[in-house]
Amino acid sequence: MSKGNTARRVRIIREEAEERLKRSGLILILLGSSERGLEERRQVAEVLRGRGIVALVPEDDFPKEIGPSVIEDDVLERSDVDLVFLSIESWGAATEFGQFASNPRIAPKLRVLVRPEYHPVHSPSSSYLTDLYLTHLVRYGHVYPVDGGRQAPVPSAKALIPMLAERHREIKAFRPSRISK
Amino acid sequence: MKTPAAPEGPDSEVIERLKAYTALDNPIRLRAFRLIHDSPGVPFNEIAKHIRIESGLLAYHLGVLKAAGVVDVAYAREGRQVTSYRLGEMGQELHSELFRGRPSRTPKTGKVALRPAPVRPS
Repeated sequence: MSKGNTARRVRIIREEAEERLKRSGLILILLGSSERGLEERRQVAEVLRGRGIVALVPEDDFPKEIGPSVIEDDVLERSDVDLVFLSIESWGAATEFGQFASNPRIAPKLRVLVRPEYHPVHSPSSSYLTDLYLTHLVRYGHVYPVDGGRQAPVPSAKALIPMLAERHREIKAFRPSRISK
Repeated sequence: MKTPAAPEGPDSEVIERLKAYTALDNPIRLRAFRLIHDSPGVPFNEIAKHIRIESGLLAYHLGVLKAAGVVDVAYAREGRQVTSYRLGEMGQELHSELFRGRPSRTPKTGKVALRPAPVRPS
């Protein structure tokens, strides 16, 4: 079997599975602070993998020779990743947001998760970062408040990420032309 | 907000297949998959030498294979960190399904002769 035939066979088997599940295959990356939130990202990845979604946590899934921060513009830009979830829990993650949000090939895939006190709709904060969130929200619509505790009735990241990923793969399966890349 | 439970039963096999074949549905990952099959325990740097793409991008593709459960990874420290790859049980099954009856590219053919890393499973 030639290389081309093998690739075609892989595609056919994938499409058969997609047809049976009425869901598209999906690859996503869960980014955030290496300390705070890492355990939560691992748990979310497990939930997603249990549903047939390929969910990467760079700290665990990347070879140790390569630092997780190597997930930079050019890697995300040229890979076939469908969605990039970025939990902003540190200044490092905020810096990554600034980098990705300004890249028109990555920004549409970006799903930004922020605490309600920094979310432009929930908070009157006039910080530069909140302003940047507002710009991203208006341009792409994907800045979500999460983990508000008792103060704000918003979902946890753990509940929100699977919900968004599921809907994305449904749309990708039935209306792929409506997925912006 | 509750997270709906993952489906169980007959669907779970299809779910695993979807995840695995989503991972393999890429020419670079398919090449890496065959390379890892032919050289179990192959270290990251050796894969990088044969699949000539930037190491960051290769790290992503190998990460996809790992996250999909297609390959197993082991780590060792020999002065520096060494990550090595071999097919997991699912990967072996997929390889049989895809390449049944097709000769593998062993070192004898001269096409691929990779040095496996002396690693301990972690």
